Amino acid sequence: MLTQIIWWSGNVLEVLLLVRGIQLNWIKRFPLFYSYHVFILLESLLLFGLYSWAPRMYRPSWWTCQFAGILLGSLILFEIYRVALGRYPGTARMARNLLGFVFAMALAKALVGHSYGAFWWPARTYAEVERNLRVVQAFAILALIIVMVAYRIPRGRHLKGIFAGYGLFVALSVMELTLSTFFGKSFTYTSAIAYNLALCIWAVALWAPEKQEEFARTAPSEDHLTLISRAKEDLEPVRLGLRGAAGR
Amino acid sequence: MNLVILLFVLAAVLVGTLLYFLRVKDRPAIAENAEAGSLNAQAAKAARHGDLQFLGDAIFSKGDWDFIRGEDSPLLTELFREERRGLAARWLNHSAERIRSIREDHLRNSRFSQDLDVLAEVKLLGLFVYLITLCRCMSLVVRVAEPTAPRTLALHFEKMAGRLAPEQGAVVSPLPAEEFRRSHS
Repeated sequence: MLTQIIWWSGNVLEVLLLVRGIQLNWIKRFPLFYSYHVFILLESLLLFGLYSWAPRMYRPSWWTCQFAGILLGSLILFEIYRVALGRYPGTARMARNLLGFVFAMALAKALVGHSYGAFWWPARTYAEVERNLRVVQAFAILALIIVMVAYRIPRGRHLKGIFAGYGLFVALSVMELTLSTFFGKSFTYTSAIAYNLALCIWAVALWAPEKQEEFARTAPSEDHLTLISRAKEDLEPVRLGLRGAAGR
Repeated sequence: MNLVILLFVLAAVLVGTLLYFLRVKDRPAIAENAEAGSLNAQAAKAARHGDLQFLGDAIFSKGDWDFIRGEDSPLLTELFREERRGLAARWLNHSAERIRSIREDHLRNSRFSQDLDVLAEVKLLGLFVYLITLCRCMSLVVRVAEPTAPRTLALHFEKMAGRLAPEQGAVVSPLPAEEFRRSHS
Protein backbone atom coordinates (compact mmCIF):
# COMPACT_ATOMS: atom_id res chain seq x y z
CA MET A 1 0.00 0.00 0.00
CA LEU A 2 2.75 2.43 1.05
CA THR A 3 4.68 1.55 -2.11
CA GLN A 4 1.63 2.36 -4.21
CA ILE A 5 1.11 5.72 -2.46
CA ILE A 6 4.76 6.73 -2.91
CA TRP A 7 4.79 5.57 -6.51
CA TRP A 8 1.55 7.32 -7.53
CA SER A 9 2.36 10.55 -5.67
CA GLY A 10 5.71 10.65 -7.45
CA ASN A 11 4.02 10.28 -10.83
CA VAL A 12 1.42 12.93 -10.02
CA LEU A 13 4.16 15.37 -8.99
CA GLU A 14 6.11 14.55 -12.13
CA VAL A 15 3.08 15.24 -14.35
CA LEU A 16 2.34 18.45 -12.42
CA LEU A 17 5.91 19.63 -12.95
CA LEU A 18 5.80 18.88 -16.66
CA VAL A 19 2.38 20.49 -17.19
CA ARG A 20 3.49 23.63 -15.38
CA GLY A 21 6.72 23.64 -17.39
CA ILE A 22 4.76 23.52 -20.64
CA GLN A 23 2.26 26.17 -19.45
CA LEU A 24 4.96 28.66 -18.49
CA ASN A 25 7.31 27.66 -21.28
CA TRP A 26 10.13 26.66 -18.91
CA ILE A 27 10.85 23.80 -21.28
CA LYS A 28 12.70 26.18 -23.56
CA ARG A 29 14.74 27.56 -20.70
CA PHE A 30 15.56 24.22 -19.07
CA PRO A 31 15.30 21.65 -21.90
CA LEU A 32 17.62 19.08 -20.31
CA PHE A 33 15.92 19.30 -16.93
CA TYR A 34 12.50 18.62 -18.46
CA SER A 35 13.89 15.88 -20.74
CA TYR A 36 15.10 14.17 -17.59
CA HIS A 37 11.61 14.34 -16.11
CA VAL A 38 9.98 13.02 -19.28
CA PHE A 39 12.42 10.12 -19.15
CA ILE A 40 11.69 9.43 -15.47
CA LEU A 41 7.93 9.49 -16.06
CA LEU A 42 8.15 7.14 -19.05
CA GLU A 43 10.55 4.88 -17.17
CA SER A 44 8.18 4.73 -14.24
CA LEU A 45 5.22 3.75 -16.42
CA LEU A 46 7.31 1.19 -18.33
CA LEU A 47 8.55 -0.41 -15.11
CA PHE A 48 5.00 -0.51 -13.76
CA GLY A 49 3.89 -2.32 -16.91
CA LEU A 50 6.76 -4.80 -16.66
CA TYR A 51 6.12 -5.38 -12.96
CA SER A 52 2.46 -6.16 -13.68
CA TRP A 53 2.74 -8.18 -16.90
CA ALA A 54 6.32 -9.41 -17.20
CA PRO A 55 7.82 -9.64 -13.68
CA ARG A 56 10.88 -11.58 -14.87
CA MET A 57 11.92 -8.64 -17.01
CA TYR A 58 11.46 -6.15 -14.19
CA ARG A 59 14.75 -6.54 -12.30
CA PRO A 60 17.22 -6.17 -15.23
CA SER A 61 15.10 -3.37 -16.72
CA TRP A 62 15.07 -1.55 -13.39
CA TRP A 63 18.88 -1.49 -13.21
CA THR A 64 19.22 -0.38 -16.83
CA CYS A 65 16.73 2.44 -16.29
CA GLN A 66 18.42 3.38 -13.03
CA PHE A 67 21.80 3.90 -14.73
CA ALA A 68 20.26 5.74 -17.65
CA GLY A 69 18.55 7.96 -15.05
CA ILE A 70 21.85 8.70 -13.32
CA LEU A 71 23.49 9.64 -16.60
CA LEU A 72 20.56 11.83 -17.60
CA GLY A 73 20.53 13.30 -14.08
CA SER A 74 24.06 14.52 -14.68
CA LEU A 75 22.59 16.62 -17.47
CA ILE A 76 20.74 18.61 -14.80
CA LEU A 77 24.15 19.71 -13.54
CA PHE A 78 25.12 20.65 -17.06
CA GLU A 79 21.86 22.62 -17.34
CA ILE A 80 22.67 24.53 -14.15
CA TYR A 81 26.16 25.23 -15.47
CA ARG A 82 24.76 26.41 -18.82
CA VAL A 83 21.99 28.64 -17.44
CA ALA A 84 23.85 30.10 -14.47
CA LEU A 85 27.27 30.64 -16.01
CA GLY A 86 26.34 31.35 -19.62
CA ARG A 87 26.79 35.08 -19.12
CA TYR A 88 29.98 34.74 -17.09
CA PRO A 89 32.74 33.28 -19.28
CA GLY A 90 35.43 33.71 -16.61
CA THR A 91 33.49 31.79 -13.97
CA ALA A 92 32.40 29.21 -16.56
CA ARG A 93 36.04 28.54 -17.37
CA MET A 94 36.88 28.14 -13.70
CA ALA A 95 33.92 25.77 -13.23
CA ARG A 96 34.96 23.70 -16.27
CA ASN A 97 38.44 23.28 -14.80
CA LEU A 98 37.10 22.35 -11.38
CA LEU A 99 34.62 19.86 -12.82
CA GLY A 100 37.38 18.49 -15.05
CA PHE A 101 39.48 17.96 -11.95
CA VAL A 102 36.61 16.13 -10.19
CA PHE A 103 36.02 13.83 -13.17
CA ALA A 104 39.76 13.24 -13.64
CA MET A 105 40.03 12.19 -10.00
CA ALA A 106 37.05 9.85 -10.38
CA LEU A 107 38.57 8.36 -13.52
CA ALA A 108 41.96 7.95 -11.85
CA LYS A 109 40.28 6.17 -8.92
CA ALA A 110 38.41 3.91 -11.32
CA LEU A 111 41.59 3.06 -13.23
CA VAL A 112 43.51 2.34 -10.03
CA GLY A 113 40.64 0.09 -8.91
CA HIS A 114 40.65 -1.63 -12.28
CA SER A 115 44.40 -2.22 -12.17
CA TYR A 116 43.90 -4.01 -8.84
CA GLY A 117 41.43 -6.32 -10.55
CA ALA A 118 38.20 -4.69 -9.39
CA PHE A 119 35.30 -4.66 -11.83
CA TRP A 120 34.75 -0.93 -11.74
CA TRP A 121 36.26 1.07 -8.96
CA PRO A 122 36.21 -1.08 -5.83
CA ALA A 123 32.56 -1.93 -6.57
CA ARG A 124 31.22 -5.46 -6.31
CA THR A 125 27.51 -4.86 -6.79
CA TYR A 126 25.30 -2.66 -8.96
CA ALA A 127 24.32 -0.68 -5.87
CA GLU A 128 27.97 0.10 -5.23
CA VAL A 129 28.46 1.30 -8.80
CA GLU A 130 25.41 3.53 -8.43
CA ARG A 131 26.72 4.84 -5.10
CA ASN A 132 30.07 5.65 -6.68
CA LEU A 133 28.39 7.53 -9.52
CA ARG A 134 26.30 9.46 -7.00
CA VAL A 135 29.47 10.33 -5.08
CA VAL A 136 30.99 11.78 -8.26
CA GLN A 137 27.78 13.77 -8.78
CA ALA A 138 27.95 15.02 -5.18
CA PHE A 139 31.49 16.30 -5.76
CA ALA A 140 30.42 17.94 -9.02
CA ILE A 141 27.54 19.71 -7.21
CA LEU A 142 29.95 20.87 -4.49
CA ALA A 143 32.36 22.20 -7.13
CA LEU A 144 29.59 24.13 -8.88
CA ILE A 145 28.31 25.59 -5.61
CA ILE A 146 31.81 26.70 -4.57
CA VAL A 147 32.38 28.47 -7.89
CA MET A 148 28.95 30.11 -7.92
CA VAL A 149 29.19 31.34 -4.34
CA ALA A 150 32.80 32.52 -4.67
CA TYR A 151 32.09 34.50 -7.84
CA ARG A 152 28.77 35.82 -6.53
CA ILE A 153 26.85 34.48 -9.51
CA PRO A 154 23.23 35.66 -9.36
CA ARG A 155 20.90 32.71 -8.80
CA GLY A 156 17.19 33.04 -9.23
CA ARG A 157 14.56 31.00 -7.42
CA HIS A 158 14.38 28.53 -10.29
CA LEU A 159 18.08 27.72 -10.28
CA LYS A 160 18.17 27.52 -6.51
CA GLY A 161 15.21 25.16 -6.57
CA ILE A 162 16.71 22.89 -9.22
CA PHE A 163 20.02 22.82 -7.36
CA ALA A 164 18.41 22.20 -3.95
CA GLY A 165 16.15 19.43 -5.24
CA TYR A 166 18.84 17.53 -7.08
CA GLY A 167 21.48 18.13 -4.40
CA LEU A 168 19.19 16.81 -1.67
CA PHE A 169 18.26 13.79 -3.78
CA VAL A 170 21.94 13.00 -4.44
CA ALA A 171 22.88 13.43 -0.76
CA LEU A 172 20.06 11.16 0.42
CA SER A 173 20.87 8.63 -2.32
CA VAL A 174 24.51 8.49 -1.20
CA MET A 175 23.36 7.85 2.38
CA GLU A 176 20.82 5.22 1.35
CA LEU A 177 23.17 3.38 -1.02
CA THR A 178 25.97 3.46 1.55
CA LEU A 179 23.71 1.90 4.17
CA SER A 180 22.31 -0.66 1.75
CA THR A 181 25.78 -1.78 0.64
CA PHE A 182 26.99 -1.88 4.25
CA PHE A 183 24.02 -3.81 5.66
CA GLY A 184 23.43 -5.80 2.49
CA LYS A 185 19.72 -4.96 2.21
CA SER A 186 17.96 -2.31 0.21
CA PHE A 187 16.11 0.67 1.64
CA THR A 188 13.81 1.22 -1.33
CA TYR A 189 11.43 3.59 0.46
CA THR A 190 14.21 6.03 1.36
CA SER A 191 15.23 6.52 -2.25
CA ALA A 192 11.62 6.94 -3.45
CA ILE A 193 10.79 9.37 -0.63
CA ALA A 194 13.98 11.36 -1.34
CA TYR A 195 13.01 11.63 -4.99
CA ASN A 196 9.46 12.73 -4.12
CA LEU A 197 10.92 15.33 -1.77
CA ALA A 198 13.07 16.62 -4.62
CA LEU A 199 9.98 16.71 -6.86
CA CYS A 200 8.14 18.80 -4.24
CA ILE A 201 11.06 21.26 -4.11
CA TRP A 202 11.15 21.49 -7.91
CA ALA A 203 7.39 21.94 -8.17
CA VAL A 204 7.38 24.75 -5.60
CA ALA A 205 10.44 26.49 -7.07
CA LEU A 206 9.22 26.29 -10.66
CA TRP A 207 5.55 26.97 -9.96
CA ALA A 208 5.59 30.71 -10.55
CA PRO A 209 7.63 32.87 -12.89
CA GLU A 210 10.52 34.67 -11.27
CA LYS A 211 11.32 38.29 -11.76
CA GLN A 212 13.80 38.49 -14.61
CA GLU A 213 16.82 40.26 -13.27
CA GLU A 214 18.06 43.08 -15.40
CA PHE A 215 21.42 42.00 -16.65
CA ALA A 216 24.03 44.67 -16.36
CA ARG A 217 27.18 43.49 -18.05
CA THR A 218 29.98 45.00 -16.11
CA ALA A 219 32.66 43.54 -18.30
CA PRO A 220 35.98 45.06 -17.37
CA SER A 221 38.02 46.60 -20.14
CA GLU A 222 41.26 45.05 -18.85
CA ASP A 223 42.36 41.51 -19.58
CA HIS A 224 42.61 38.96 -16.81
CA LEU A 225 46.32 39.35 -16.13
CA THR A 226 45.82 43.09 -15.68
CA LEU A 227 43.03 42.35 -13.20
CA ILE A 228 45.35 40.00 -11.32
CA SER A 229 48.14 42.55 -11.12
CA ARG A 230 45.68 45.24 -10.03
CA ALA A 231 44.41 42.99 -7.22
CA LYS A 232 48.01 42.29 -6.17
CA GLU A 233 48.74 46.01 -6.25
CA ASP A 234 45.70 46.67 -4.03
CA LEU A 235 46.86 43.94 -1.65
CA GLU A 236 50.36 45.36 -1.35
CA PRO A 237 49.62 47.89 1.46
CA VAL A 238 47.92 45.16 3.48
CA ARG A 239 50.80 42.78 2.92
CA LEU A 240 53.30 45.45 3.85
CA GLY A 241 51.26 46.18 6.96
CA LEU A 242 51.29 42.56 8.00
CA ARG A 243 54.97 42.34 7.25
CA GLY A 244 55.42 45.46 9.34
CA ALA A 245 53.72 43.61 12.17
CA ALA A 246 56.33 40.93 11.69
CA GLY A 247 58.96 43.56 12.33
CA ARG A 248 60.39 43.69 8.83
CA MET B 1 33.03 1.16 8.30
CA ASN B 2 35.42 4.04 7.58
CA LEU B 3 33.98 4.38 4.09
CA VAL B 4 30.45 4.53 5.51
CA ILE B 5 31.43 7.37 7.84
CA LEU B 6 33.29 9.15 5.06
CA LEU B 7 30.33 8.98 2.69
CA PHE B 8 27.94 10.12 5.40
CA VAL B 9 30.23 13.07 6.06
CA LEU B 10 30.24 13.84 2.33
CA ALA B 11 26.43 13.74 2.23
CA ALA B 12 26.23 15.97 5.32
CA VAL B 13 28.71 18.43 3.80
CA LEU B 14 26.64 18.49 0.61
CA VAL B 15 23.43 19.22 2.52
CA GLY B 16 25.18 21.89 4.62
CA THR B 17 26.66 23.54 1.52
CA LEU B 18 23.27 23.48 -0.18
CA LEU B 19 21.68 25.21 2.80
CA TYR B 20 24.42 27.83 2.75
CA PHE B 21 23.97 28.23 -1.00
CA LEU B 22 20.25 28.83 -0.52
CA ARG B 23 20.79 31.31 2.30
CA VAL B 24 23.41 33.47 0.58
CA LYS B 25 21.58 36.33 -1.03
CA ASP B 26 21.96 37.36 -4.63
CA ARG B 27 23.40 40.78 -5.15
CA PRO B 28 21.60 43.01 -7.61
CA ALA B 29 23.55 43.20 -10.81
CA ILE B 30 23.15 46.93 -11.27
CA ALA B 31 24.12 47.86 -7.75
CA GLU B 32 27.35 45.95 -8.25
CA ASN B 33 28.74 48.61 -10.54
CA ALA B 34 28.49 51.36 -8.00
CA GLU B 35 29.70 49.11 -5.24
CA ALA B 36 32.69 47.91 -7.25
CA GLY B 37 33.56 51.49 -8.08
CA SER B 38 33.45 52.56 -4.48
CA LEU B 39 35.58 49.59 -3.42
CA ASN B 40 38.18 50.48 -6.00
CA ALA B 41 38.23 54.05 -4.80
CA GLN B 42 38.60 52.91 -1.20
CA ALA B 43 41.42 50.55 -2.03
CA ALA B 44 43.21 53.22 -4.04
CA LYS B 45 42.84 55.68 -1.20
CA ALA B 46 44.18 53.19 1.31
CA ALA B 47 47.09 52.37 -0.93
CA ARG B 48 47.95 56.06 -1.16
CA HIS B 49 47.95 56.60 2.56
CA GLY B 50 49.90 53.51 3.51
CA ASP B 51 48.21 53.64 6.91
CA LEU B 52 48.13 49.92 7.30
CA GLN B 53 51.87 49.55 7.09
CA PHE B 54 52.53 52.37 9.52
CA LEU B 55 49.95 51.17 12.04
CA GLY B 56 51.06 47.57 11.78
CA ASP B 57 54.61 48.52 12.56
CA ALA B 58 53.60 50.83 15.40
CA ILE B 59 51.09 48.55 17.11
CA PHE B 60 53.35 45.52 17.22
CA SER B 61 56.51 47.50 17.93
CA LYS B 62 58.90 45.57 20.13
CA GLY B 63 60.70 48.78 20.99
CA ASP B 64 57.60 50.19 22.71
CA TRP B 65 57.13 46.98 24.62
CA ASP B 66 60.76 46.95 25.79
CA PHE B 67 60.47 50.58 26.87
CA ILE B 68 57.33 49.92 28.95
CA ARG B 69 58.90 46.87 30.56
CA GLY B 70 61.95 48.99 31.33
CA GLU B 71 59.75 51.29 33.41
CA ASP B 72 59.17 48.35 35.74
CA SER B 73 55.58 49.32 36.56
CA PRO B 74 53.06 46.45 36.59
CA LEU B 75 50.14 48.89 36.25
CA LEU B 76 51.66 50.62 33.24
CA THR B 77 52.53 47.27 31.67
CA GLU B 78 48.98 46.01 32.10
CA LEU B 79 47.54 49.27 30.74
CA PHE B 80 49.87 49.12 27.77
CA ARG B 81 49.04 45.49 27.13
CA GLU B 82 45.28 46.14 27.14
CA GLU B 83 45.60 49.18 24.93
CA ARG B 84 47.77 47.41 22.39
CA ARG B 85 45.58 44.33 22.45
CA GLY B 86 42.51 46.40 21.54
CA LEU B 87 44.37 48.33 18.86
CA ALA B 88 45.88 45.21 17.35
CA ALA B 89 42.50 43.44 17.22
CA ARG B 90 40.88 46.40 15.46
CA TRP B 91 43.78 46.77 13.06
CA LEU B 92 43.73 43.09 12.17
CA ASN B 93 39.95 43.13 11.62
CA HIS B 94 40.34 46.14 9.42
CA SER B 95 43.09 44.42 7.42
CA ALA B 96 40.95 41.29 6.97
CA GLU B 97 38.04 43.43 5.80
CA ARG B 98 40.27 45.21 3.33
CA ILE B 99 41.54 41.90 1.92
CA ARG B 100 37.98 40.62 1.64
CA SER B 101 36.79 43.70 -0.22
CA ILE B 102 39.73 43.48 -2.66
CA ARG B 103 38.94 39.80 -3.22
CA GLU B 104 35.25 40.50 -3.90
CA ASP B 105 36.14 43.32 -6.23
CA HIS B 106 38.53 41.07 -8.16
CA LEU B 107 36.12 38.13 -8.39
CA ARG B 108 33.32 40.40 -9.55
CA ASN B 109 35.49 41.65 -12.40
CA SER B 110 37.06 38.36 -13.39
CA ARG B 111 33.65 36.69 -13.85
CA PHE B 112 33.48 38.34 -17.25
CA SER B 113 37.06 37.61 -18.34
CA GLN B 114 37.20 35.87 -21.67
CA ASP B 115 40.86 35.00 -21.12
CA LEU B 116 40.80 33.87 -17.50
CA ASP B 117 44.13 32.30 -16.55
CA VAL B 118 43.06 29.54 -14.18
CA LEU B 119 46.48 29.00 -12.61
CA ALA B 120 47.05 32.70 -11.94
CA GLU B 121 43.52 32.94 -10.52
CA VAL B 122 44.07 29.98 -8.20
CA LYS B 123 47.39 31.45 -7.03
CA LEU B 124 45.72 34.77 -6.29
CA LEU B 125 42.87 33.07 -4.43
CA GLY B 126 45.53 31.22 -2.44
CA LEU B 127 47.16 34.54 -1.58
CA PHE B 128 43.80 35.89 -0.37
CA VAL B 129 43.24 32.83 1.77
CA TYR B 130 46.78 33.04 3.14
CA LEU B 131 46.45 36.69 4.12
CA ILE B 132 43.00 36.32 5.68
CA THR B 133 44.15 33.24 7.61
CA LEU B 134 47.20 35.17 8.80
CA CYS B 135 44.95 37.99 10.03
CA ARG B 136 42.62 35.58 11.82
CA CYS B 137 45.48 33.69 13.48
CA MET B 138 47.14 36.93 14.54
CA SER B 139 43.82 38.11 16.04
CA LEU B 140 43.60 34.91 18.01
CA VAL B 141 47.17 35.21 19.23
CA VAL B 142 46.63 38.85 20.23
CA ARG B 143 43.69 37.77 22.40
CA VAL B 144 45.45 34.94 24.19
CA ALA B 145 49.09 36.10 24.34
CA GLU B 146 51.26 39.19 24.44
CA PRO B 147 50.43 41.93 21.92
CA THR B 148 53.84 41.46 20.34
CA ALA B 149 53.39 37.71 19.94
CA PRO B 150 51.86 38.00 16.42
CA ARG B 151 55.30 39.15 15.31
CA THR B 152 56.61 35.62 15.76
CA LEU B 153 53.53 34.14 14.16
CA ALA B 154 53.68 36.48 11.18
CA LEU B 155 57.36 35.65 10.70
CA HIS B 156 56.52 31.97 10.85
CA PHE B 157 53.76 32.43 8.25
CA GLU B 158 56.09 34.40 6.02
CA LYS B 159 58.69 31.66 6.25
CA MET B 160 56.06 29.05 5.45
CA ALA B 161 54.89 30.97 2.42
CA GLY B 162 58.48 31.45 1.29
CA ARG B 163 58.21 35.21 1.35
CA LEU B 164 61.43 35.86 3.21
CA ALA B 165 63.63 36.27 0.17
CA PRO B 166 66.03 39.18 0.79
CA GLU B 167 64.92 41.05 -2.31
CA GLN B 168 61.32 40.86 -1.14
CA GLY B 169 62.16 41.93 2.39
CA ALA B 170 64.04 44.92 1.06
CA VAL B 171 60.80 46.31 -0.35
CA VAL B 172 59.65 47.05 3.20
CA SER B 173 61.36 49.90 4.91
CA PRO B 174 63.42 48.68 7.85
CA LEU B 175 62.67 51.89 9.78
CA PRO B 176 61.52 51.38 13.35
CA ALA B 177 58.11 52.67 14.46
CA GLU B 178 59.58 55.83 16.00
CA GLU B 179 61.02 56.84 12.66
CA PHE B 180 57.70 56.32 10.97
CA ARG B 181 55.98 58.46 13.54
CA ARG B 182 58.36 61.33 12.92
CA SER B 183 58.04 61.04 9.19
CA HIS B 184 54.24 61.21 9.47
CA SER B 185 54.09 64.23 11.74
